[in-house]
Amino acid sequence: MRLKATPDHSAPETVFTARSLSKVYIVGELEVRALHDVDLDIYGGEFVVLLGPSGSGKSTLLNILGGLDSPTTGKANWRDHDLVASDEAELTQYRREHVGFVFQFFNLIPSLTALENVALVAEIADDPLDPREALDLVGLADRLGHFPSQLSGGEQQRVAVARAIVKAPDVLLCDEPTGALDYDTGRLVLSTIARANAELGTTTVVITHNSAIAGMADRVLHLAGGSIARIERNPHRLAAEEIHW
Amino acid sequence: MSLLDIKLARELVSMRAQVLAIALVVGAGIAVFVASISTFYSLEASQSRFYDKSRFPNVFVTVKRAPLSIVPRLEAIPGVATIEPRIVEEVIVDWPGSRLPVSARMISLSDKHGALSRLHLRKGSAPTPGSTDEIAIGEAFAEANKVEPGGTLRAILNGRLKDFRITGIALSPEYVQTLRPGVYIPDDKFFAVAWIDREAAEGAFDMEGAFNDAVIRLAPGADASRVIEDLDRLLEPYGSVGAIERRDQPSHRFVEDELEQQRVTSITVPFVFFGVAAFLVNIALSRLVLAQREQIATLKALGYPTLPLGLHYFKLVVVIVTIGSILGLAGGYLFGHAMVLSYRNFVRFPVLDFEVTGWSLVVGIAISLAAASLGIFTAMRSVVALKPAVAMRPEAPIRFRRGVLDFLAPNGSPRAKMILRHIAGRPLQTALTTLGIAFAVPMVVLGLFWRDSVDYMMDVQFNLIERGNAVVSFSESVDADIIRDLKREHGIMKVEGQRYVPVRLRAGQRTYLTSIIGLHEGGELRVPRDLDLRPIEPAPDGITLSKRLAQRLDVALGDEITVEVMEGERRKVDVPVASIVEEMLGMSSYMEIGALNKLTGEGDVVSAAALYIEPSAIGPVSERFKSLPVIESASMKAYSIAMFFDKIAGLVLVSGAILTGFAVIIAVGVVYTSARIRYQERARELASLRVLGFTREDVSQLLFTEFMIVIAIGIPIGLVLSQYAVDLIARLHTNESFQVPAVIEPRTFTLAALIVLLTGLVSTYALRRQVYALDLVAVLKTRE
Ligand SMILES: Nc1ncnc2c1ncn2[C@@H]1O[C@H](COP(=O)(O)OP(=O)(O)OP(=O)(O)O)[C@@H](O)[C@H]1O
Ligand SMILES: [Mg+2]
Repeated sequence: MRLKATPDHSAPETVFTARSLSKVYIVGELEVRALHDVDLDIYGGEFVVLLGPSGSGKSTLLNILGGLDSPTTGKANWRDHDLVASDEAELTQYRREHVGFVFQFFNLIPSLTALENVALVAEIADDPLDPREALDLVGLADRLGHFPSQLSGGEQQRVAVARAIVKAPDVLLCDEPTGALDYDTGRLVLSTIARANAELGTTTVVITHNSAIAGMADRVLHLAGGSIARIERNPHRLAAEEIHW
Repeated sequence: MSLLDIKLARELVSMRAQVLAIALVVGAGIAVFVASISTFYSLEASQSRFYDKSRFPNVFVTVKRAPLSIVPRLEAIPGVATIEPRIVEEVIVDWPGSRLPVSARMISLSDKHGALSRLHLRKGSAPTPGSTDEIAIGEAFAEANKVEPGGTLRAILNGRLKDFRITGIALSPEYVQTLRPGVYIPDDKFFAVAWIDREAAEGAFDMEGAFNDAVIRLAPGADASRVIEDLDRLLEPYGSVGAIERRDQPSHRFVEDELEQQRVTSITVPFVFFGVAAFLVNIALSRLVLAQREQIATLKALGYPTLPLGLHYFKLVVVIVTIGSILGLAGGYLFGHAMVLSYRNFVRFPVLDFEVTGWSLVVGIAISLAAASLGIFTAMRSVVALKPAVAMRPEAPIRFRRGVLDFLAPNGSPRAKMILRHIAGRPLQTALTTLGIAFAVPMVVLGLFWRDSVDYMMDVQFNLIERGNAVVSFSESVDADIIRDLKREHGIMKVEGQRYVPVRLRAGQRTYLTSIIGLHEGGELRVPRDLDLRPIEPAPDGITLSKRLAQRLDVALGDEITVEVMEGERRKVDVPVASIVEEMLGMSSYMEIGALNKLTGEGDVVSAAALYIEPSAIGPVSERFKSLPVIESASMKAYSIAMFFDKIAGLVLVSGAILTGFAVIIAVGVVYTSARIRYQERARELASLRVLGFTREDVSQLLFTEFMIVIAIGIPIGLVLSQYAVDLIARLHTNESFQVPAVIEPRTFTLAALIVLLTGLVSTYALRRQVYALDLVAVLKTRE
C-alpha cells in the first residue's frame, strides 16, 4: 500500500462533530425514533466501532456522517463541511472526495465485474490506488473478471470493501463489513481496514455486531434505542491478527 | 471507454429485445412523420416546378366568340403580362373499342415564343405548326386506352368525321387532374384532352381570326380581381361567362385540395402517431431508469455527480433513438415512396419523385430525442430527489391494501387475491401499463378505419343518393321531350331529367364555382339526403347545399346567397338556403328543376338524365348511346365505383394499410415493453415466490393473469379513445373531393382489440421464457 502524508496523531483534531442529532421516521401513525439527541465527536485518524442491537440506529448514524441521509433535527459537520445544510451537489462532492463507504447491502453494480466495480470509484477519485491492488488486499486477485452474481455474498462484501479503500479516502465508513464473512476472511478484511486506518490515517467508523472487533478500536460507541448509551476507550488497540471470536 | 460506458454496453446487450422494441416505436413514429411531411413537400415541389416551367396561367376566361383584334386591348389591361387567345371546343370522339361515348376537349396550340400552359411531351412530338391533321393527347386518356403516338383519333367536327394522327402524348398544367365539370370521379377512359395546331382549330371550328378562350399570366404583384373586372367588361359583349382565377380552375383546385389534404395529413396523423409514440417512449424509458433506482443511488452514494449519471442514461437514449431513426428513415422512405407512387396515376406532373425533406428528419429525431430524454430526466429527478440512504434500499415493498380490488374475487383463492392486490399495490405502474396498452388500440384503429370510412362513403353516395346506375349528359340543354324518348329505349327502366347549370355561388366575400343540379320533385334516381340521411325534396323556393359547400361559403339554413349563372344571360339572383344535405363526393347544390329553369330564363329543358338500366341490357344500351349525337357522355356507376376505388380510395387505402403496419409495430413495441418492464419491476418478488415453493408455472401464470387483467382494462379504454382519434382525423381530412366519415365498424374495433390482445399474448409468452430462465439465486443475491 502506498503511503500518503500521514497527519500527526499526537494532537488529535476533531473531524466529525454531531450535536443533538435526531432522526424520526414516520410510518403510518407510528413514529420510529432511529436516533435520539446524539452528541458525538470523532477525531482525525481515529478508529471507531459502533456496537448495538439491531435497530438501534447504527446505520442511520453512519449514513448521516457519510452524507447519505439527513437528520430530522440537529447538526453534523465533517471538518468545515456542514453535512446538514449542504445541498445535494456539495454532499456528492464531499462523498466523492473524502468518503469511502462499505454498504450493509454491498450495492455493487450488477452489470460490472469485480474489477470494474472497484475501478468505477477509482475513476472519479483524485489519487486512487490501483484497483487490482485493492482487490488483492481483500484476497480477490483471482476473481477480477467475475460479475456480482457470480460471487458469493462474502466475496461481494470484499469487493465492496476494496471499492471503499481504493480511493484512499479520508474517511472510511463501513456498515458491517464482515457480516457475511468467515473467520479468516473477516480477519483479512478487518486488517485491510486497519491498515488503511494506520498507514493512511484514514478516520474509520465500523459498524459491527461482533464485540470482539471492538478490541481493534480506539473508541467503542454503544448505541441503544437511538442514543449513545456508553463510550468505551481502548488504551491498547489490538491488531486484527490478535483478535479472536 | 469509461466504466459507465461498459455498463451501458452490457445493459444494451442484455436488454436488447427491449431496446429494439422501444427503437421500433421511435422508428414507426419517425417514419410516419417523415413520410407524411416529405410526401407533401414532394408534391408541392413537383407542382411548383411544373407550373413555373410550363408557365401556368393565373386567369382563365371563356367567351362565345371574340375577334383576335380585341387582344391588344386585353393586353393593355394593367396587370396583364401575357395573354394567349385560344380555341377550345368539346367534341365527340368516335373511339372504336369503347363501350361508351367518348368526348374530347380540343385546345388550340400557339407556337409563339413564351406561350402559356406549355405542354410537357411524354412521348412523340407536338403537332407541327400549320398541320391540320396532327394532334397531341393527354397522358391520362392515352394510358387508360393504351394509345401510342402514330395512332389515330377520329373526332366529329361540325357533324363531319375527321381523322387526326396522334403525334405525341403530353401533360399540361391545366390538366394535372382531368375532371370534367360537375364530375368528381376521374373518367380517364372516356374523356380526352387534345391539342391541335391553331390553324387546324380555326379551320375545324370556323374560328378564323377569332378565339373563344383565353389564358392570362399576370404581371408580378398585379391584382387578379381588378384584371378580371376589366376582362369581364371588355369581353361581356362576346359572351364571356366571367373570368376565373387560378383557385377556381378545376385541375388546380383539385390539386390544391389534394395538397391541402396531404398537408393536413402530414400534421395530424403524425401528431397522433408521433405524439403517442413519443409518449410511450417517454414512459418506457422512465420506467427503465426507475428500475435502476438502487444502482443510481449507489453511484450517487459513491460520489458520482448527477450530471455524468444523467449523461450515462442519455447515451442509452441516444443509442435507442439512433436505432429508431435509422429504422424510421428507412421505413419513412418506403412509406413515402409508396404514397408518391399512388399519387402518380392520380395527379400528373412531369416529375413526381419522393424526396425526404431534410428538416422533417431532423425535427423527427429531435422530438424523439426530447421525448425520450424527458423520460429519463423525470425518472432521474425522482431518484435523485431521494436521499441516497433511502434510494439505495430496495424499493419500499408494495403497500398491500386490503379491499381495493378484493371485491372482484369475494370468495377467491389467496392466489386470486394476491393478483388483485399486486395490481392495486402499485397503482402508478399499473396505470402506466394500462395506458400504454390503451394507446396502442387507437393506433391500430387509425390504420384500419379508412376501409370502413370508404365503405360508408360508397354506400351513402352510390346506394342512397345516386340510386340509378347511369348518368348521361347532353351536349347542350335540350327540350325535356328527350326524356320521353329515352324512356322508350329498350332496357331503360327509369329516366329522370336533370339540369346542370354552371354557377358561381357567392356569400359575402366567399365564392365557389360549381353547378346547380336541377331535380324533379319526387325523383327516385338522385335522392338528396339530409344530415340524418333521410331523403328530402329539392325545395322549389330555395337552394339546397351540401354540408361542406355550406361550410365553405360559411352559410346556414335560411341565409341568402347569390347565384351567378355562368351561362346564357348570366343572371344574378339571391336565393335562401332551403336545406343542407349530406354528400360524400363533390360539393353539390340542388334546386327544383322548374325553379332552376325559371332562374336561368329557360323553358322546360334538361341537360342530363339519370337512368336505371336493366343490368342485362347495359351493353346494348351503351352502344345505343354512342349513336345518339345528343349524348355527349355517359357514366356508368359500376365504372365510377371502380375508378373511385382505383384512384381516390386507392390512395387512402394504401396509406391506411401502411399506417396499420406501423400501428402494429407500435402496439407490439408498447405492449412488449410494458410487459417486460412490469416483469423487471417484479423480478425479485417473483423470485421470492419461487423460493417459497411456487412453481415456474405458478409464477408465469400469476404474471400472465395479472397482465391479462391489465390488458382487459386497457383495451376498452383504447376503444373509447379510438373514437376520439378517428373523429379528429376525419374532421381534419374532409376536403372538396370527398369527406372522410368518422365511421368505425364493429369489425374494426374487434380486429384492433384482437391485434392488441395478440401482441399481449405474444409478449407474455416471451416473458414466460424469462420466468423459466429466472436464476433465483442470482436475483436474490444481487441487489439492483
Ligand atoms: N426508511 C425507514 N423507514 C422507517 N423506519 C426506518 C427506516 N430506516 C430505518 N428505520 C428504522 O430506524 C431504526 C434504526 O435503523 P438502522 O438501520 O439505523 O438500525 P441499525 O442499528 O443499523 O440496525 P441493523 O443492525 O439491523 O442494521 C430501526 O428501528 C428501523 O426500523
Ligand atoms: Mg444497519
